[in-house]
Amino acid sequence: MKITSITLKNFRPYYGKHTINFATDDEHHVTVIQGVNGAGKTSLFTALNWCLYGDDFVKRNIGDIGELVNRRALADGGMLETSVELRFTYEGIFSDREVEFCAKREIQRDLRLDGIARTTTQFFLEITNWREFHDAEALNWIQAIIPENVSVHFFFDGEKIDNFTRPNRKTEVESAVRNVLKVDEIERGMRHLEDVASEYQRQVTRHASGKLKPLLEVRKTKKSLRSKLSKDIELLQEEVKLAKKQKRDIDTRLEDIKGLRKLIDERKAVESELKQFKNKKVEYQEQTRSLANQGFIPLGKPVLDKGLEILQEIPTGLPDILLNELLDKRQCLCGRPIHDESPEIETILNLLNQSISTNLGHTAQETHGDLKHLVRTHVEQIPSNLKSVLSDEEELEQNIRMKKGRLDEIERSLENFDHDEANNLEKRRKEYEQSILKLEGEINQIKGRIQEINIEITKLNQKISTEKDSNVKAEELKRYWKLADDSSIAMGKIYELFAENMRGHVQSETEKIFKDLVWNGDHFREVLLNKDYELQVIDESGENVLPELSAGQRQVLSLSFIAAMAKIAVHDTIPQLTEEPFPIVMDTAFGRLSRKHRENITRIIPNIANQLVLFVTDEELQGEAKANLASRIGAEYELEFDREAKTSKIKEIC
Amino acid sequence: MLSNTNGDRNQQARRPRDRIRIDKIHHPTYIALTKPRENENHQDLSPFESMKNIFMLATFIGYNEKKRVPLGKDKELIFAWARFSPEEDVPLLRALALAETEHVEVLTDQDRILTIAEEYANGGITEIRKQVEDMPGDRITNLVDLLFNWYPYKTLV
Repeated sequence: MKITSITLKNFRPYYGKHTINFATDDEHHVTVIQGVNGAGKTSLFTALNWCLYGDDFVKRNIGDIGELVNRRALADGGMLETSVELRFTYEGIFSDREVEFCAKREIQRDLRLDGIARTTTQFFLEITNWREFHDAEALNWIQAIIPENVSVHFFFDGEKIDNFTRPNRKTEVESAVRNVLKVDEIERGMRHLEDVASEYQRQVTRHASGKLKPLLEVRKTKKSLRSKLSKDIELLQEEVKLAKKQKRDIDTRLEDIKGLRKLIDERKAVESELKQFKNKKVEYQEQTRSLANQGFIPLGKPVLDKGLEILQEIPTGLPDILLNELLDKRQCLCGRPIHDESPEIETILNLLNQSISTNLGHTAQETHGDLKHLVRTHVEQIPSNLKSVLSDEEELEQNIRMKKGRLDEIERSLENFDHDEANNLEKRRKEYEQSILKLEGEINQIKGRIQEINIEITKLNQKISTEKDSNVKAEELKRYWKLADDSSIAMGKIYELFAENMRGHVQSETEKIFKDLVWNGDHFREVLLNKDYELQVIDESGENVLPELSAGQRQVLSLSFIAAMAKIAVHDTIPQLTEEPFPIVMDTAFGRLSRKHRENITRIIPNIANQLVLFVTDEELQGEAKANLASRIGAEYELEFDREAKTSKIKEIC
Repeated sequence: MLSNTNGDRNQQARRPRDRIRIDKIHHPTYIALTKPRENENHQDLSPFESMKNIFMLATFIGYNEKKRVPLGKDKELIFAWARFSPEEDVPLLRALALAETEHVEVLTDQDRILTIAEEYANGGITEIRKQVEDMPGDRITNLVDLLFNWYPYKTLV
């Protein structure tokens, strides 16, 4: 970045328009702006910062924004413009070329209306031959080119710079290293990865609910219960089979008893008939249920009648599609052309009003047919069929009762038959029969239970499947989580290495520059920047003598520190850090320095920055110090303050 | 009786409601009536083959008893529109909506047809529960007895 020019208009002591063109040449890149105290040096310095960063800078350093407006211009009344226009070049946007920027911040005041000032402020940034940005958008660009927290280390007041080197100022030092050398960016990346890892962890917890295991356990229990019940059924069925065999054996033995064969044969035949009747009964029950399930159709008779009545009233005229087509073509149904005023148009419109949409018409027609069909085939048929099935079932019930009565008679005959063995056999047979009935009842109950278990297992299977899907998702998320976590740890290590590396670089560069700048450099053995970012100056005896340094020495140390960072940011061996250098703008550059220090600094400082702007008093820069800079000065201005007019003027010296 | 057809066309453009809703409080009745009940020695048949059949009977009992009860806050979705048979159920539900609104446009308004049926079913289900499920004896016989209380079954008694 190189500042090309600054133009002030009605800004603080500068009445009217004033421009300074800065030295930008590689060899002659030093601009000296000289003026006595109160001539307007700090106002120029303020103008630069206000233009780039706005009112906040002014509020922190001056106070009231109104103080920016030149008083003489204010007294003139009318439309008043206070502005600062800063032109600079920057290479960081397009890699192939340097781009010119023009930033302008202005305050417009309309003082024409009854002395009530109407103020508008605006800021814009023009990128030459490309685009113009306003206000927040423009400020975003500035922050991207030279963030305010970085600029404070390059545009500074020389008298206040020893902040870095006062005792217990490690925060300022650390913040400077972090901002200028972009350590913060790595830390932000690390924090971002930590956040990503936390988010994945949260999602893993949400997806891996831990419900799968208990669900699998419940399903296992249900399945094993089902298996046990199935085995119970098998055992009961064996018992039924055995009881039936015993019953058959008894029948065979009863048949062999003289005089009983006919009775036993009859019982067999009645039992067989009863079995058939019972099967038939189940059939009738199913038919009854099926008809009763359709029973709602006859109950709908009132709505069927009402529906048919309504649908019969629907006009059966021409469909709306055809009518619309005739209208569009201005054509009669017979093909004859018609015009807007002809009576046919009115007829078509009337028909269209009475018609319904084709889709609705189709549905109505279809429904009409369906309803007629239902009335014809279902409304009377279903009750009649139901009545018929119920009547057949009733008849079957009578037959069943009759057959059961006959079986009871046969049973009683056998019980009363005069034969002990026959009586005993019949008694046992009855016991087996009751046992079979009981066993079959138990089997049915167990079958019902198994059916319920099957439904429960089906539901469990659905839940397990959902849970498994969720677990697969959780596993996938776990992998992302691990990746983000590993990356965060790796970045943490990189961060530590980088920060340590940077600290080492800043330390050695600061020491080197400090020893060059300070007149009694040999007296100091080393400059340390410890892990807590505390600057220390160690003397020959190994003591930290920072607290004992003079104000001038501290200023030199601070300058050395800034110069070191500027150098590392641009020339460091870490390619990612390589930045376009920033200009160094120093207000009251050498105010507190002794002659010897000034001479040393002016000898070294032009080599540190690619552009140097110095605001100095006439006394700050003279003699050898001035001579040291002379060959590098590309522009020199003198500020003059007119005490009568209370305005400053900028006079170009060379 | 006929109105502008624009509403009908707009209705066509939107996807109609598909799921049939009942009040949550009646859900256990729908489940019980489709589940076999265990007797001492055998399982009887459930009185209804499907929840759809219960819904249809409840709808027309509700209509005949003039009990149209809007659904409450807690609802249960029991089956999809596709379960209705196009030959019997859909025409009947359309006829119900026609009889209720006396506007032919309702025929293509599936949402409205469903809402009318749901509200009548909500009114009719209590009668089915009382007469079929809560009444002692065989539930299919109870169901038949219920039907024979109504025209046109009544004429055959």
